[in-house]
Amino acid sequence: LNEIGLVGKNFDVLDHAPVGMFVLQKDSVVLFWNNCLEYWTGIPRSEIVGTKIGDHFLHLNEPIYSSRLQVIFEGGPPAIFSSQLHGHIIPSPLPSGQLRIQHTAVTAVPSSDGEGFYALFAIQDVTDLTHLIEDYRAMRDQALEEARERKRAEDALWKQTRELSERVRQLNCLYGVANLLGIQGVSLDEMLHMTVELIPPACQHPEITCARITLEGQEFRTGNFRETIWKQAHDIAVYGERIGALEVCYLGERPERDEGLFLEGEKSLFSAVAEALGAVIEGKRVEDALRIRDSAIASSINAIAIADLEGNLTYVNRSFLKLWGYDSDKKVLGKHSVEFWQSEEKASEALEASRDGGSWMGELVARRKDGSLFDVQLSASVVRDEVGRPICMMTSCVDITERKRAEDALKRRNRELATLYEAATAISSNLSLSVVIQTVADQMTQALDSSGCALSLWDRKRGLVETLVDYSVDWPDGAEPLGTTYDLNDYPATRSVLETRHPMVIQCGDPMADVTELAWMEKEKVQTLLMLPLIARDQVLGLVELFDETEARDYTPEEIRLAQSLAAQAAIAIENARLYEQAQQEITERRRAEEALRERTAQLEAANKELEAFTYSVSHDLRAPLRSIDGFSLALLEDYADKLDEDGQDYLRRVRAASQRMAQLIEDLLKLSRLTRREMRRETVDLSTLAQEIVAELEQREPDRQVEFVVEEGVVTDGDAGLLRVVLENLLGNAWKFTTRHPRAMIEFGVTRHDGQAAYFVRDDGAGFDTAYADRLFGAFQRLHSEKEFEGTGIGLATVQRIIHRHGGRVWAEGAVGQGATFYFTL
Amino acid sequence: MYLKPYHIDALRELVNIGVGQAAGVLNQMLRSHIRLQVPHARVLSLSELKEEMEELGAETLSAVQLMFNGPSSGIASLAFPTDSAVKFVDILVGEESGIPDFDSIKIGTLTEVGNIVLNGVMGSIGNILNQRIGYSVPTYIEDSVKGLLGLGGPDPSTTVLWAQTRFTIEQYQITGDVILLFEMGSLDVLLATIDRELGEQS
Repeated sequence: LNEIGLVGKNFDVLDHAPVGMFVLQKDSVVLFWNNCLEYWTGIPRSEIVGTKIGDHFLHLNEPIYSSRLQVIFEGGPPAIFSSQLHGHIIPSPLPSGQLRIQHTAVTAVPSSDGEGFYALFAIQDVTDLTHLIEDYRAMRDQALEEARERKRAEDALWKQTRELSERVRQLNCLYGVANLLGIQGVSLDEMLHMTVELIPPACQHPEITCARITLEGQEFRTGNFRETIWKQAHDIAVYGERIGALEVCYLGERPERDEGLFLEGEKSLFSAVAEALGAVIEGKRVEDALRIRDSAIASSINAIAIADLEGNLTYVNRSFLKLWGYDSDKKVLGKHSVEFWQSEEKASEALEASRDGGSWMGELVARRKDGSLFDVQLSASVVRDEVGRPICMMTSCVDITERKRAEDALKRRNRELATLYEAATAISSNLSLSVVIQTVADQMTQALDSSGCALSLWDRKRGLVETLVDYSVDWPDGAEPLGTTYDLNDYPATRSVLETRHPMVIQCGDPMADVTELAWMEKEKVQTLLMLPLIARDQVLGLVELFDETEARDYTPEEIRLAQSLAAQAAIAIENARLYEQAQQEITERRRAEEALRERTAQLEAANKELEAFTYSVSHDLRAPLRSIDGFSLALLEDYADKLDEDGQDYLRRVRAASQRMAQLIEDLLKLSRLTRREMRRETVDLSTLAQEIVAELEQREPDRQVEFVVEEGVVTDGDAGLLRVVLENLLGNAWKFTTRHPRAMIEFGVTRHDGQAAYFVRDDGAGFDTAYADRLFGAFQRLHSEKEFEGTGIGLATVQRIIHRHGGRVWAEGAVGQGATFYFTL
Repeated sequence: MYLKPYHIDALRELVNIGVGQAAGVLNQMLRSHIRLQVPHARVLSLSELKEEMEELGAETLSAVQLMFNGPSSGIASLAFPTDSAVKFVDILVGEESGIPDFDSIKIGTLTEVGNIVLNGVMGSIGNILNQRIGYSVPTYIEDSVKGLLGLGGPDPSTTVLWAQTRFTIEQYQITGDVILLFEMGSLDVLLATIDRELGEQS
């Protein structure tokens, strides 16, 4: 209590300070409590002094206070409890009920005993200040908020402005496009060209924007177009089908990338433009289609008329007006459609039929404005709206007058062709000249419905025509062959027809006609005469004359054409018949010649056979007596040698030699005849091998001879091996023989070419021969050397020649006396 | 007095202890985790400090100052660049106005925080001196580096203990400077005491 009193005295001066002040002793007992605090808290000093502060204000017991106060009680530095962190150290309510906001400083004050320290709390009421600051803060915050708000508003406004200008640009573009689309007479190409140019200015960065429209292979682009990765593409579609695209590209990176590469507005602009283009193209197509349809109908060759359901005309095209002979549709429209026909009844029927049945097709006779009639092919149909209700009637007419005429002509032509065909068939069905001529006359008279027909042939050399047939329907037997001839000099008209090859019609009494002709016609009572040339293989054979006796007649071009066709057919048939007859004659002659030849051949063959038989039998029959002569001569020599002197013996030996030589001759003759008779067998023959075999035989026979053989290898041919062996035996044998006189000889066999044929040869360097006698070499029994010089019968080369001839070949020889010989043969 | 390396260590240790205590108080008071670190502490002349701090570039500083006198006299300051100081207070009281405005409420708060930090440092120095030191009530001052440090008197040889402190709250890091300006001879008293204490210990 002492202490309290002491402190109270010491701190008395603080009692009236406008600051809450109190003093704590180390144990938190309150030693001083000033007036201000009494006022603030309502706790009187008497009540609180001497008690622990924590008993009154529980929060002050918390360690945060006690620990910091501890420093104070130890004389440490002061402590500050700021209003923000410790605003209510000593809670004290204001009249308003709010607590005072306090700022507290605690300092150490030396205790009265001088040992320790008291803690002096000085509490400042900063409520007003705080409120002021808070108000200020609120105002400031509000101002800040307002500033922010203003900034936001400004930003928004700026953005809006920007968007608006964007929008304006885009609207400009759209307006431009719309304008373009609306302008009449601008072609689609021009429009697309201008549209693409409108795109970049509508974008936020026109300087780096380019655009392109592709449409069914065509391309429209801004001058700076280049495809980049910064691209926006929109399809252009017509009837839901993509036909092109609008592409927009940025050439460089966009300066600001706040909203993606392209602004939403831009994208919708591009899409709007693409859509609008699609719609316009669609519209244009529809328009084009309609225009085409309209002009197609208007300019159709068919006469087209549209009528209401009652049948009153509402539209007619140009062809209709032209066909019906009207100048303008004013006199036509509104009239009932049945008025334009010959028969209103039939027209009404057609109208009703098409109205009821939906369509009608058929032929009608139409009436022109001037009353003339013409044939029409008409098709009428009901035109309906989308839901199938009939709206109007439409008819389409074609003038078929021409067609009808053409049809008639065709029919006529067909008839003509049929006639022609019939006549031609009839005419060419026979090859007998007389029959052909009669048929021609018959057919032509019938086909041309004439009273008569004459057919004459032209003999140029004699300047005559010969009438072969004169046919008239009036005559009971029809055609009647004649043989009358006319001198053409008397009939210049006829001659003109033959020479000019043109048909000619002469009417009886024609002053321009030739008098001779007219006289003849008068005499024969011919009213009209038609003359036609008969031409075959470009040769005028003669002429046809057609008569009309009952009345004068005008030949139409078709009739003349028909007559010409028939005449041409007739000419060919006549020519054929003539050729045929000629051929027949030739064939007969040839047959006769062949027959004669055959007979002659048979005779020759018989003679040949006889000859051979004769040769054979002679040879045979001659040999028997020869054998007797030789045999008995030998018997004489052997058995009667002693009775014969030398001369007798010599004679006998000569008899024998002669008979033996004769036998040899006969033998060779037999051989020759056998060769002739023998049948040939052709096969492949190796001539080289054959020659070598023969050479070997020859050398064996006379081994002492010095002969050099040269045989070419591989000489092969086609022929009879046996006969060819005989040939080579003879030729090589001859060579061997005719070189006997030479100590050394050379014999050669080989093949060479002669006149493009293989020529085989045997060459020797022996005796040779004189070419003057060369043709005698191959005759039978012909010899160029005496038998004393070279033995032989003279049959060999004849045999060779015969064999070669049988092979169809040729044999010949070359050589000179003493210089050897060469034998050639071909096969 | 001649400054030995261990003096620096000891001084840094004293500052560390004080700051550590202050951190404990702040954490308790604010119920949010504040980390306080002292990356380095140096002893240098006032003119040197001026140069250093001017080099750091802060134009205006917000500082809480506490004057002390007794065996050792001088001024203890906790200084922040004003921007950092505002932000620091805002973080501490959970406000985020973002407006660099220093009104008296915020000044009060910064003063209390500075008071706690300086009290920690001065407490640990007072403890070692074990003599009565008088203190003024902490005050807030906002001035340029030059103005702030001019308080130390005209003597440029005034010794200064300069300790950078780093306050880490949530994801924020705020750096402030604890600056102790010792009056002529005051540091020597402290160093002598340190020598004595260390001598006693050894």
